Order: sequence, then C-alpha cells, then structure tokens
Amino acid sequence: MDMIEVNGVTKRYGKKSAVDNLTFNATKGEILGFLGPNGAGKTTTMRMITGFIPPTAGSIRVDGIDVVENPMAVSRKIGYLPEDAPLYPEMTVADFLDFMAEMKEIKGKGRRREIDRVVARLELGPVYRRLVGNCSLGYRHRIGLAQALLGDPEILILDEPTSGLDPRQRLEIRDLIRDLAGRRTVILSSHVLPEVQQTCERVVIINEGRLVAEDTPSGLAARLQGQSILRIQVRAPVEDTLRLLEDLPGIVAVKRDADGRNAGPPSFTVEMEPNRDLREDIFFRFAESNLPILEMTPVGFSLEDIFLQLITEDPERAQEDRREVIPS
Amino acid sequence: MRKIWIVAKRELMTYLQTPMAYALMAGFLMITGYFFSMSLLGSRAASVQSMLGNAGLILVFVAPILTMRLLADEDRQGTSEILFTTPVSVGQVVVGKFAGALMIMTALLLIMLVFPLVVDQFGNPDWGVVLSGYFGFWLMMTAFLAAGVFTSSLTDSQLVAGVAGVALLLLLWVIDWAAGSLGAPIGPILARLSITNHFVEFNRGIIDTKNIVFYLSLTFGFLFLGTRIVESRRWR
Repeated sequence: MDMIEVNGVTKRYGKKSAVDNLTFNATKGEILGFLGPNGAGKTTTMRMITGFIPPTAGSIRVDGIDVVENPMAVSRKIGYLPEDAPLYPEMTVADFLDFMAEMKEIKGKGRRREIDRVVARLELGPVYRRLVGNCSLGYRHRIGLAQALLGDPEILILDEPTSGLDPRQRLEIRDLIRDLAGRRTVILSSHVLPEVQQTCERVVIINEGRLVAEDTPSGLAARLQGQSILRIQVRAPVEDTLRLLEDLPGIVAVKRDADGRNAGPPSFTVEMEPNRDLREDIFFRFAESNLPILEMTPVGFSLEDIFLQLITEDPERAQEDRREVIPS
Repeated sequence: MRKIWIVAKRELMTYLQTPMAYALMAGFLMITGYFFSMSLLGSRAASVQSMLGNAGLILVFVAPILTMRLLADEDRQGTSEILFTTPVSVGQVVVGKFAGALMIMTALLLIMLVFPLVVDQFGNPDWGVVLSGYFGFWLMMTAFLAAGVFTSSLTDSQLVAGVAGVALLLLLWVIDWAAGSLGAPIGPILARLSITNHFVEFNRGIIDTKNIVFYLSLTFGFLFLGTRIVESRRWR
C-alpha cells in the first residue's frame, strides 16, 4: 500500500522551478532514500509532503489523505526533522520536548512516557536540563530527531538526519532508522551517498527538481553494470600486458593504476564494452603467453559513481554546469 | 482552545526566562512611577489620570518591543517549520502568542495598581474613575499588542518588526491631528481612528460600549491580518 504518493508535483518560486513535475511514492514500512545534490529540490519536496508549503501544481497524498485539503490530519501522522534541526534555543531540552509533545496531542501519562522513551533512545539524558542553545551541534541534531520521534508517528520525514554528526553518532542514527524498517515509513534525504546505500531499501534520485532515477541501491548499480570495469594485476612487463589487453576485441580502454597501494606487479583498470564479459578471454590470452594473472576483480559501482553519472548524463547540461562554475 | 493555551504558555515561559520582558517591565514601571510622583507632587490631587494618560505614550514603544520577537523569530530561526507541521492552525499560533504577551502585560498593569493604592493611603481617590481608567488602559494595551503581533508577522527581522510596530502605533496616536485641518468627511473619520481619543473617556470614568468595541475590533483586525500574512508567506 502506498503511504506517500507524490503525483506530478511542481513548485515554482516566481519563474524558477524548484521542483518540476515530480512523481514517486513510498510504500508502508519502507525506508526511502531521497538523494540529490544541494539545491536539487529535496528540502522543498519534503516541506510539501509535510504540508509546510503547498505545491504549485500536482497533488500529494499521505495515507490516502490530500495534504492541501486536510493538513491537520496529515500532520498527526508525520514526524518531521527539518534541515539543520531548528529548535527554540531559549528553552531547556525538557521544556522543549514537553512543548512539542503537547503540540502533538500526546496527553496525560503517555506524554511523560513518550518523552522518557525518546530521551533514552537518543541518549539525551546528560543535556536534559540544559538550555537547547547551549547544547553542542550533535546534541541539537538529536534533540530535533527526538522531537520527530515523539508519539511514534507512522511516517518520518527526515531532512539530512545525519549532517553535522560525528561518525559514531552517524552509526547510531543509522541503526535507529533501520530499527524502524517495516514498522514505519521513512523518507530521508541526504547528499552523503553511503548513508543512503546502507539504510535505504529504495532510492529516489532528483536533480534540478526532476526525477532522475528510482530504484533499489543494487538495482541502480545493475542498471549501470553495462559498462563493466575490471581491475587486473599480472606478473608481466607493463608493455606486454598493455599490448595483450589492447589487442583483445571488446576492450575500450586500459589504464595503468597508480602504484603505491601495494608494491609488487603493476595493476590495471580495464574498461570493457557494455554488456560483455571478457574475463575468460583475458584469462586464456594471458595463459597462452604464460603470464600469470594474480588478481582480476570486477569493480562494482558505488552509488556515488551512479549518482555522478546520472546527474551528468545529459552532456549539454553538464556543459552548462561547468560554465556556471567559471566566473565570467 | 487547548492549542492556543499551549502556545501562550510557552511564550509566557520564554518571557519569564529571558531578560527582555523584565527590562521592559522595570523600565515601564520606572517611567510611570516618575509620571505618578510628578503629577502627585504638582497637583496634589488624589488621582492617577495624568499618569495613565502619559503611560499610553510609553506603551507605544513598549508593546511592539515585547511582541516583535513573536512571529519574526519563528521564521528567522526556522522553528516555524516544526511548529506549523504539528496539528495546529496559523490562527491558533497567532492568538496564542498574542495571549502570552497579553498575560505578561496584564501582570504589569496589576502591579501598576500600586499607584492608586498609595494614593488611597493618603487621600480619597475615586475608585470608579481609577478602575475605569485601568480597564480602558488594558483595552488599549490589547490593541497595541495585537498591532505588534501584526508587524511581527510582516518580516523575519525582530528589529524591523519592532520599528514598524512603533511607527504604526505612533501614526495611530497622532492621526487625529490632521482631523482639524482636513474637515468633513475625512476629518471625523481620522478623529475616530485615533487610539488616544477613545482612551480619554475611560480615563474620565466613562465606560462606553462604542469605545470597547473600537479597541476589540482593532485587536481582532490586527490578529486577523497577522494570521493571513503568516499563511500567505508560506503560499508564496
């Protein structure tokens, strides 16, 4: 069942489109990664899903309820961590969480319990009586997250939940989000790719407000597996290796890797034509010449490679981007 | 109603935990105390009329400084994003914030009752006139605070909100000056708009419904405008 349906949504500020005809969905219990470079429209989209700003065109449904028509009902289902976790600096952590819990209509004894739960879950005990404004950035971010988790909402919208955290805290947040998998629907945005790769079941990539790709992390990788790349290490003179490889039909390019990582015979990166597996051909060719292959590894694409490739796929736009970088 | 109270309670707590409200209240009491002593020494009359009349002008400055933070800061800090994504309407937030400020100022006005109590020790003030004056002052304060909430909705800068609030109230304070020279039909309308004229009658001991209605409609009008502006900022 679709928990969140974003349907042909456009958001324009004046003439500029921040989000342009975007369509995707998130099913119940899914952890969806929302990926894109800075300024791609991630934050704008998340604000529209939470009902904070209305779309210029298109519709958003949360658990079947239209966000624009019934924002109150939608806000009861969503826990939201905005970008940079804005908080009231002049309140103590205790007062702040109590205020947010009251606003979220958590009443009576349940409120105390809920606050204790999120304080324990995010380890806010040491700063509980402190002013929010005096807490470190890492704590402030966790306070923001604690606020979003209050009331155990069905849906969590987390805008850059791990930015500004140290690696250990990042790991903890990642565990926390993974804990929610299956029970709660989570959309989290990031421009840190391994983050998404490790926590999300499905990834939506947007660039300049438009959908670029939507798939599982491994599905995205498979989609681009077409151009296979091998790393190969042979005990042989460099010239011989280069000659043998370049002669082989189906090989696009051979590049000698920079030495340094490990001493010993040089290694090479071999790019093959799309959808051709030449590993056996390479093996026999070197075997015929009595040159032993020490290592041959298919190089998998990281999400990072895919991401870069997807957003620069349009060569014209890539050109434009480059031109923008050079100050005129 | 519950949501309004939650928002109001938070604003009240913030006022009580930060120095701004204390500084404003202390300053206000100091200046009104000075007005009170001077009029008492000068006229030797058992009344607080002159003190209340002058205090109105100080309120023109104090009310917008107290309210300038209310909506402007939510936008500047980005906290409007967590606030308005909870199940609450813009109207509830605006009214709640206004109510928080009104509670603080009402407390201040109650403290100011010390002046007639002092007079009462040594003379016989007309308590009817005193209470009518204080009631009128409270109504005027309500309208001033609503105007301050309104200017706070216009911008995300506290300073701009405060300056705009003072300017708006000063204009309403002196607007009837033009009445004499303009003549009908504009003149009488401007005279009616003056926020001081309506208070003068309360301060003389006359409680007239048309004056109550004036301040209440000003309050509702400003709060309504403030709500609309906060809503429209997000629709842009």
